[in-house]
Amino acid sequence: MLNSVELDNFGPLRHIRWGELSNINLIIGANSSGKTFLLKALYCSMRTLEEYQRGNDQRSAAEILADKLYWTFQADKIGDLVTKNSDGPLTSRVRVDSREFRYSFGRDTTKNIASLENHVPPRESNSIFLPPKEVLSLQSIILKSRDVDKEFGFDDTYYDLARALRITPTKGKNHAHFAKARESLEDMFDGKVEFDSKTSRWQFKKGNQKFPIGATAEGVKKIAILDTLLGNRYLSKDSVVFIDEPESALHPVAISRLIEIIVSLAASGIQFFIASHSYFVVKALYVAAQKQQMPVPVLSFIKDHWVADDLLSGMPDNPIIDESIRLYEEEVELALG
Amino acid sequence: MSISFIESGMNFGPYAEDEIFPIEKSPLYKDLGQGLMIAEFVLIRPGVNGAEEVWIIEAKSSAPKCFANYIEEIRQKLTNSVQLTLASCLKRHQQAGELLPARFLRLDLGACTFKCILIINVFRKDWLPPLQNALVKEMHSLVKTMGFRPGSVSVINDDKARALKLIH
Repeated sequence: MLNSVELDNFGPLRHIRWGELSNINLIIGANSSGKTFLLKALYCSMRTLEEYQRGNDQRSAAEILADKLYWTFQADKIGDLVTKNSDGPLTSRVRVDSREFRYSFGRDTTKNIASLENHVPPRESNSIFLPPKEVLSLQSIILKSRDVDKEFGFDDTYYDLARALRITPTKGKNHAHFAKARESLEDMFDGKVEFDSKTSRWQFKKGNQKFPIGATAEGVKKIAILDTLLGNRYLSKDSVVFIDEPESALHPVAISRLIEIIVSLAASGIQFFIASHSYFVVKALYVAAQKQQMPVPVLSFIKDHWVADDLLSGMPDNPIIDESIRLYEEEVELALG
Repeated sequence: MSISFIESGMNFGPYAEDEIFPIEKSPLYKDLGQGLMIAEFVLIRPGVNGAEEVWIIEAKSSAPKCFANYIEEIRQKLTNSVQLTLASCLKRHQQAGELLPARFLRLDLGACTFKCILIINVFRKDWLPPLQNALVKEMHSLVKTMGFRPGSVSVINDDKARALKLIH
């Protein structure tokens, strides 16, 4: 698991120190505070560690990382990721499985990362990034744009997910936590999404009825993605799942149920990093932290600074709760003067 | 003459004698017998455009321990208080003419605004919104059947009560 993160001059993230990470970790902040950037930065590190020395891949960790940063952030050169007007280089230092992985490069770097140190043993797991939008209905377009046309547009978070969903579901007994989570996910929408190999299309099955994926609700497709990744064994208990805005396209009741499922998957070992704007996500995670007496480290962007806290020790000051209070105050002001 | 009193650890008042109906202490309530829960008092406050508003006030010194029971208790108290106030103003109870302050008897019941307010002493502001949402939901049927306006149910803490000059 990812144990700690230190980032300097990484795009909008000038200085991040986040330690004692747990199985569920939350990032909250206003639009353009850099939440997605942080998730992507961590995703690049995890995928580099997972792809390094896998099978017959002969690429060095630095080559894999440069490639990952290039296709994930889609900058002309990876040196463009260094914070503008910063004095020092971009530096990333993470601890994974209690071992260090660090790299650093300056703004002139095109693709060769000169400084990289890796002490993390090769990992067999697959980590994944779940973006706010579903990818099932765009899967073939994403794969063509990247595999055939080699064009910018869909970054590696979308491309990797589209590829991971191509893996056929494995028959046989799944991990008990995963099987239970899949039941709950399918129960949420009273059906399941499956890939029809005859038509090469995804479809939503509800009882005996089948619906084309295009006519299926966004929320169903989002949930189906997690269900599929558990069913085809792409995810294992050592995976790290990065979820950007889990609330998008989901009803508050569905959000609460998804958080329950995430809590149960986290108990099986999967680590989650969740970036959210949602009052319901924050509240549901706070309640889960208190109920399970489970640490949920939270990194909040407050007044130009990233502040680390833990939902287990209480609800930290944050703009989401502040806004709910502000709206309440406006309501009382209107009612009582 | 003005009236001040301490309730749930808060210093209420001063209120003019004719603008407060201490419903909980009134024989109009006590004569109804046991088993009926009631709010602390009812207040006439100036509203917009010179209209009068009737504020039903319930004060609490503690946060809910059992959320559902707490909300249900407040709902019963506020609902009973609205109904008893209206019934008294309409002189449906024999002694109402003597026991109700004159301003209450002159209220234009068809036009005046009713507001139900729960005040919790020393209560964290960030805990107020969900409590207000829950109470608004529970009071929905009363608000609808009585034709009260949206925003007629509020949950505030002592800071806001002080700002509204309900307490000092």
